[in-house]
Amino acid sequence: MKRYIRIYLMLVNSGFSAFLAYRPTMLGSILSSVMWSVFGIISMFLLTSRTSSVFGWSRYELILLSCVYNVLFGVFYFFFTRNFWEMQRIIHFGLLDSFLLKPINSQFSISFWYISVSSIIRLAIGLLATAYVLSLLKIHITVFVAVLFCISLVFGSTIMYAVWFMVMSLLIWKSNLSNLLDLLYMNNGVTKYPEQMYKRASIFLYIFLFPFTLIVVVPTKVLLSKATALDYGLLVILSGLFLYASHRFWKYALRFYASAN
Amino acid sequence: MRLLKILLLQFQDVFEQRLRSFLWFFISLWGTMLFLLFWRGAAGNKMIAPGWDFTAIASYYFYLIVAGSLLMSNVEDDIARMDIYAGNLARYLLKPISYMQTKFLEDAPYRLVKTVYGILTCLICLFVFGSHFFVVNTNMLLIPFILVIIFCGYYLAFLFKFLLGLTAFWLKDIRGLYDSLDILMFILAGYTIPLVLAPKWLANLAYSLPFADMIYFPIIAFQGKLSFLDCSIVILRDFFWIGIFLFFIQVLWRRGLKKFTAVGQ
Repeated sequence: MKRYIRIYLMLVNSGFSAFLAYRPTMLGSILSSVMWSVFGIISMFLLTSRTSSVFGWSRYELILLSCVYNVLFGVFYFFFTRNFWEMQRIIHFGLLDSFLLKPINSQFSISFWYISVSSIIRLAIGLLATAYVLSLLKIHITVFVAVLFCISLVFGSTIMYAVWFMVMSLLIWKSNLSNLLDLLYMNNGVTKYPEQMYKRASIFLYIFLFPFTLIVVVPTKVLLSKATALDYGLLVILSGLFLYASHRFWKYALRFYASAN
Repeated sequence: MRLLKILLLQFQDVFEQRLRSFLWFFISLWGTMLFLLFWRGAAGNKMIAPGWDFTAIASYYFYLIVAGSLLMSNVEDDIARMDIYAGNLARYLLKPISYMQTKFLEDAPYRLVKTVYGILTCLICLFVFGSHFFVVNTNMLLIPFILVIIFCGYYLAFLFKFLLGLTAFWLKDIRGLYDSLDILMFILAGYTIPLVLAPKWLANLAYSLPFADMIYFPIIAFQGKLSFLDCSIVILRDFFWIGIFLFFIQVLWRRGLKKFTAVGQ
């Protein structure tokens, strides 16, 4: 474990250096992060501009949901998205061998090799917006709630990571599907709406999307003091199950890796 | 004839990657469906704005599935990354056909195949949910105007994205700019919400920019929510923006070519 932490710190260090070395790319990524985080909040602001409550959530609670969405995906993108972008290139061009031959876990190396530094901006905007909306809702956050919020964010990110990793592992069979990642990005949108939205649409849709509905909703409920023991339990159990499934699926997929582009 | 050949060759390319183009379509479908599901709860049985209840909003989003596939071009990424950054533009410059024409023809099959997926989805929805979710214009005299608005939207989107692609001659990293403009388009072209339901200041801002002419106006014209006068104004605006874009494309193309080294950047 110590060795992995040491390796990861070195990778983070080189990630920051690479980020600062290419100025135009750095500015482009910062601009992009700012715009996406603002868009996430503005789109909810627009959708709720003609209504005071939807699916039992007030307008500000829904905006809070989209702020927490930014916080969670700020964290998630920081750690993982760059790696998934690279993953499709690595698999498509048959470069996975170099990861498989390293004396560390291949899932770890392919998932954590790069970081997306600009996502810190998204995280910061998300946190600021969350604090602002909480003040509008006149909700005071205690240290205990803040800790619970952070823990639920970690478990939420774990579910997201496992789903992304399993879907991206499919590239081993169909490596030209480079837009799988775009599909995953679009699917993130599922997490920023209340679960009742899917429940009302169709029970099958709800069952299928259920894990996604926990990812952002539970941390938001924690802030609103509405989270139940069942919410926490489901989040923890599902994140464990999904992480294990992603590991098994990766091992299975590797059997089909042909090592050629 | 040679233009048709280019078009058919491009169709072969699209059909070779059927699953990939279906995924592109599915991505836009999924995003639109989420908005639709949200409105189901937000609108309920209420009239959100004059002439806009859930049925009208649902029909807007159903048409958005087709319009987003047909009218929106994604040519900018190809121009920037493949042609300018990787130097593939040299290949096009040697051909006896203009670069813009070739790109227009290369772009069309992707859009048409995605549109077929969109129409099939709408037909399934029509069968499942019934025809009341598909509000259409019933005034036959307006049809030529609507067709012109749709074609202008198609061409305008291509010109805008082509112009955007040309900025790669000067910019070393285009992601920030493209993402920012994509987001602006999501809001101002009417992807997120029908502009009539947006706050007044935002709707006014959208009407003064060309994005609404690419998606929003073709859809509401198809829904029959525009009068003769409105249609005429939209067409005039479309011509104005087409003129502006063509002018800037000429300027950027001439200047950009002088910077192009043909060995990749």
